[in-house]
Amino acid sequence: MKTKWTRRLFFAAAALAALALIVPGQALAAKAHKFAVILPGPIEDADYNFRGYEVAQDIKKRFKIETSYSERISPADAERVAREYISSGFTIIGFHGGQYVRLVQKLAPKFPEVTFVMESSGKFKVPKNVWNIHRHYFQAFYPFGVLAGLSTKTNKVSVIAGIPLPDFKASINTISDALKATNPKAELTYAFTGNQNDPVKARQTADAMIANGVDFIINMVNLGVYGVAEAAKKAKRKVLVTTFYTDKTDKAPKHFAGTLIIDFRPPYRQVMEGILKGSPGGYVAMNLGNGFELGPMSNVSAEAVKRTKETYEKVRNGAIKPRLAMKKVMLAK
Amino acid sequence: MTETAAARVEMHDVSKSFGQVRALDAVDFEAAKGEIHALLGENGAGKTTLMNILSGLYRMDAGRIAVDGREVDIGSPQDAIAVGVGMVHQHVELIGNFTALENILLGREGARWKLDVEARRSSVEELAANYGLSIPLDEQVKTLPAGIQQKVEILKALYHGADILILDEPTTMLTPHEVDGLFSILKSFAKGGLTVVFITHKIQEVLDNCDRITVFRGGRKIDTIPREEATREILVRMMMGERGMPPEGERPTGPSAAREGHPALSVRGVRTSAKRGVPLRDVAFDVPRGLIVGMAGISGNGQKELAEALAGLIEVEEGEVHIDGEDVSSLSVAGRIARGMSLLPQDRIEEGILPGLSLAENFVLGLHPHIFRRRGIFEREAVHEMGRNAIAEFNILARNEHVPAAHLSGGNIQKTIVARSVMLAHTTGGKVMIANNPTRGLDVMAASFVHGRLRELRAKGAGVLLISEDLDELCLMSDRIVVIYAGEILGAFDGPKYDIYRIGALMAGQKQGAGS
Amino acid sequence: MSLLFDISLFQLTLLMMAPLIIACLGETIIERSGILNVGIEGIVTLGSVTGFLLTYYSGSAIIGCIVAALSGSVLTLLLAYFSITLRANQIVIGLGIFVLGLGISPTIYRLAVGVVQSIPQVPTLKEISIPILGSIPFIGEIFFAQNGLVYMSYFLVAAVSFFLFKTPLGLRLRACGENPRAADTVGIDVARMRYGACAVGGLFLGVAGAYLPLVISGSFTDNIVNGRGWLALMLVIFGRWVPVWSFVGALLFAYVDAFQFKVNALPQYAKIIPPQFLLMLPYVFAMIVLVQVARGAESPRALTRPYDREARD
Repeated sequence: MKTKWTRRLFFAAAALAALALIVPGQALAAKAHKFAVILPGPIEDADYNFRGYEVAQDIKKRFKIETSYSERISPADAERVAREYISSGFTIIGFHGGQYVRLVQKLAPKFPEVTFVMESSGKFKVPKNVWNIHRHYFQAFYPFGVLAGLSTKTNKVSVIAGIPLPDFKASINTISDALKATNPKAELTYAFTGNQNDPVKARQTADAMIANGVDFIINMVNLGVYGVAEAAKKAKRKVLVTTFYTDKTDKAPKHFAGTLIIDFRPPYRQVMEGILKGSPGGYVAMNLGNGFELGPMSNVSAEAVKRTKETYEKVRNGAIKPRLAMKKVMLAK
Repeated sequence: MTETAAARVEMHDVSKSFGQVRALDAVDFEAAKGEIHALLGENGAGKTTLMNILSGLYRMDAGRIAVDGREVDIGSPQDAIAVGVGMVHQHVELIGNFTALENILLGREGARWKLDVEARRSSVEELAANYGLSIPLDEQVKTLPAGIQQKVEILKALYHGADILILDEPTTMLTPHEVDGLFSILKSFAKGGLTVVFITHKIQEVLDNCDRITVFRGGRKIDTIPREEATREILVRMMMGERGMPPEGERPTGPSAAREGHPALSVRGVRTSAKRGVPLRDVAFDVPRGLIVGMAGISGNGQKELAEALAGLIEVEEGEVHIDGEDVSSLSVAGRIARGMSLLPQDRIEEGILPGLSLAENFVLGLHPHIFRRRGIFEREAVHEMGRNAIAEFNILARNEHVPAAHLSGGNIQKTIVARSVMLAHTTGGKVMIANNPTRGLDVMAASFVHGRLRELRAKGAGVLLISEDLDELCLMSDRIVVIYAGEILGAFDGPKYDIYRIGALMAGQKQGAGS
Repeated sequence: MSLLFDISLFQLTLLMMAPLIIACLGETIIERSGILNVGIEGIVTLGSVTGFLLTYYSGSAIIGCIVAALSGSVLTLLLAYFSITLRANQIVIGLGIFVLGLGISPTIYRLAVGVVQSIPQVPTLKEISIPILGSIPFIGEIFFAQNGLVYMSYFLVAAVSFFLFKTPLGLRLRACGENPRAADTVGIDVARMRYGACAVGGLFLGVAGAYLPLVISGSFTDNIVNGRGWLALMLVIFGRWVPVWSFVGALLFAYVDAFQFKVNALPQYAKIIPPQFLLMLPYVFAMIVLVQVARGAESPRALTRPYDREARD
């Protein structure tokens, strides 16, 4: 429905634009941009995809341009969807997810008049009509190592992730560094469940970890988190969990220790401003203070909250530089 | 003797069509209490259709049915059971994985919530004893021989309260002994007041066992006559109409007609694995040139496996197969065909034809290496020409050679396959023909056609192995009969005259009756 | 606490066994009547969304389960209509039902919930310790300190076994799956039996779906079922259409699954064994056992065969 209307509007706009071109001396002051974002999952997830949907809403409001989005687009379908947008006159296409990086590199040179926005985990050399949003997950997760180290009673901390993405591996590494630095007795374990959004698998993994004595779980699964929270609720001892993207404290008020808020609006705003200034491509670092933010903490000691916040500040201003190791999980000794 | 008795069941002006085909055309039928009433006719005459209507499986398009003089509406098997009609189908309708007792109780378990097979056992046993049917009640039905399965089905019908018992071609799967046993049971049923309706195409059985005979032809009732007025000639005329019986053909002469030289087919101590069905155990026999050797046996005793082993479809673990003195045991199917073997498969639709291909294309299956001038190049015109010739020569009822094989009737499909095998035999020198139940389900004329072709091959000096479950057919056709039982050859009999009781005893696995 | 035997491992085994066996029992009833339901994954997914939403709005898990059961039944009856009344190819229709169920479920969820910052959640079912039985050491803690649906799954295994093998209706149902004509000739209404099997089996499939949000996650996500319906279909074959053997299969599978998660979460093994391999383990196990067991397994003879009384062979 939505795209249909969008298309109709577009055709009307295109007709007007054509008229405008015919009338001499009436050239448009600025090129009318249209923004579309491609999302891997459903927008009602109140998580990663919702954050992508927010970007589209935000750009529409802030820059007064037409926006659209497509949900549940697998990397295999993304090219087709992108081409449809381009052929309907969209000028900026955002790809919400690291899985589209290769596609963007391939597609961008074929459509030099279109601007592509990709989200990646590095400073890539990109075609000149590509904006690269470099997401610094590995920095952002560092403070959680401190929080976990100060909050665990059993000295067993775990990370649950779904797919072994480089960002997650790097984040596990920095967490282990922070944990060792804070609490040398604490031991870190981790598991990949194979699926970011399967709460059942996540629950089974968390149950197994809790049975092994773990009492603090740092989540890197998206919707899987609800399974982890349920496992915490059912545990015989007090188990704390963290989450990311959106604050979910109300889902398990007694068990959520903290949230890494991840908001894609600030970096996308920077991209839009850059485009409007006339640069077809560029680089935006998405890091603590710019997209990544430490959410409210609960169920932990005041001391833990204080030191976690301090650590956050230090990472933000560069006093602490977490190591970057994306290829392999190498826990701190 | 029963003409004075009141009609137990009457059917009037019954018509039934399947699509365009009119299976029954305003047929009347009535059967009395205490009689054995034969329904005689060729395949497709409508006798089974009529009884399927009476037993509620088919709905009639028009007509009336009355039981004991009261009109009844039979719309389902349930209605039929309610008025006392029970039918034993040609291919018994039992559940192989259930025990005999469970099969009998099914649908009338005698309890609503708790199935108590044991509680009903005594009443079933009593019923069985009353009617002289001895059945192992706790065996799974699929493990029972066909004759016993049939008894299970009869007992089932009786348990469900049938006093009009219909049997559809009940003797096809039985040995001669079992046939006699069946009829003595049926006679005692009739004496006890049951109405027995007996569907068959075998005239001798009718003459031997029935009180009255109703003859069908082409969906119409010809007449009903008492046994005393019936002779073979009268019944044949009624069944066949003006066409009369097909010529009997040359009778077998016995093994003395064998030609000199290597046997056409020599099977030496063949064994096969149990993984491929019934294992063959040291099967050994010869098919000399110029003879038809019949293989008798009840279905499922290794005939299919033997035919497949000879054709090269399943592996022979031990032993050898020779064609005209040459060991072909290690050759592929194609290799054996090239050395003069041809095959008439049993299951026409499954194995014999490619239903979606045209008649002409079906003809050239297997012949393709031999008919094209250049190897490997398909010549459309040659194929069509062959198709046209075969349709004419073998009298196949088809519009033209382009008709998909699936559109033909069973008889015409079989003619197509026979035509192909015969043509193959001609092109490859035709040393051995293996025919596995080549006439099953065919009407008399079509069967006679197949027999004629097999005799032709014999006359040309080929050896023919005729595997059949129909002992009458074997006696009519074979110069020698070998009997197979549980994958083993139990004996051989030289023709042209045979003692069917001795053969029957071997078919049932009784070795003491072994012949020469 | 040893690697292979500890209480929590067995508890988790039972927790995950329950939805598998409930779905498996439903499918067994349907297949025993002669209908192969390959739409199971879609039907289970529908059950999980309706079960979740109704629990969320009504506040009662019982109402949620009932509605999930009914929705499973309705979707299975759609399959029944196509395969019994219209005599369509059961595999084709089943795959259609699978896609339909998978597609319609997120749509229902979105229509009900919309786009929100915080997704709806229901409290998961509480463990109920059975008096006396629950206090038996080890055994009691494993078998009798579970949520209500786990107890229900034990009961259903017994009930379905009894129904299939010890009641007249069960005998008739099996007859329809083995040889519908034989059943018909003794006055059994084959179509009615098959419709009935689909209606009842569908109830089970719906409840199995509801189990996942109501017990495991407390929330609904698109791919919450994630192949577990197909697994139940496999367990039917594994159990050779006998509930007790399917129960054993479900226990074995759930055990290997739970074991795999346990090993995955243990640091000393995580270093040696790649997690991908561990995740594969239950499925490899299932496949090997299935290949062994399925050899010579006899399905109901008339499975996938539509019945037409007047068809002539």
